[in-house]
Amino acid sequence: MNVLEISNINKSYGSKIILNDVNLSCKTGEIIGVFGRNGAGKSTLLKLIFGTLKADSILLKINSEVITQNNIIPSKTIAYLPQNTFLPKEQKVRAVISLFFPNGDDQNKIFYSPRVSSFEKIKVGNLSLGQLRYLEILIIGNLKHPFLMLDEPFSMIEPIYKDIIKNLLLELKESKGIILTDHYYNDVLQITNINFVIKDGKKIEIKNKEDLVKYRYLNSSE
Amino acid sequence: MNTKAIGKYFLDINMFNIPLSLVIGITLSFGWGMITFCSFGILIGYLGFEYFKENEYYSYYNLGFTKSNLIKKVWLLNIIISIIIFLIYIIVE
Repeated sequence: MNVLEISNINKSYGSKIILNDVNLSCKTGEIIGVFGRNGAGKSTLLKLIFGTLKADSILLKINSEVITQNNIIPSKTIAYLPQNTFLPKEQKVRAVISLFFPNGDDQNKIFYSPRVSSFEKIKVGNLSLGQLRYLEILIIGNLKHPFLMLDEPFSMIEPIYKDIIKNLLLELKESKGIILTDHYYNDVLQITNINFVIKDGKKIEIKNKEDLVKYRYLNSSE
Repeated sequence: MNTKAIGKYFLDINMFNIPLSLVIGITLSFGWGMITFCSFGILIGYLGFEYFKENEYYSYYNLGFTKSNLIKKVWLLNIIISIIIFLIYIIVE
């Protein structure tokens, strides 16, 4: 089992404090949901952990070993799905899969995943949003990285692909620790075991939808 | 090492670099074209990639490559290619 521990995360832009001494940990088998209003610091948190945004302070440990922000990417320990699509639009799905997985057996795992055969000959730029998001998660989820962070995996996705993605994430959590953030709280709550809201730069653990109302992420639980 | 991914980045950067180096090579001299190809042209390629394909960096990040790592590889490859082309040019001349 792998454990990712992140402590003492501080980030501010000028006088605006985005994250104030946030701590969290994620281990294999967990899916952690992060909620927060726009601008609360959800994406910032993921970028800080991934190392693409410089933190004012952060302490990262993987399996009790300290790792610097700069070494997260080269260490191949955390895969990250950004909000906007990152796959080359001009390439066909087949070519993109072989770009990420030079090995034939690894490629086959993707090619034989549900529904991939229906769009493997299409250019990435011509995929529907659901197909694209699913393909992206399928690709980064099948990398060997023990942790996965997803920024808005359900945003604007057609319902059928939402279900496929949820099943895929439940399958992936058997071998990975997952942190995800999305405004589609019903979908997130269905698959997560731990959830928290970021409010005024602080992390507040929540148990259910009522807590989302309590901490003013939602107006009502209807 | 994922040579396919590095190859794609190499082509994407040089997609901007090669036309510029050709123009410099034709208007100034062959030598300046070669120097551009492994210096200023890479910077233009990098800026072009940043502008048109910035989010694709996440593909490389997920494969374990940082920006500086990728640029160093392209720079090294371009220097090697420049030396080979320069040697061929000297032999033909």
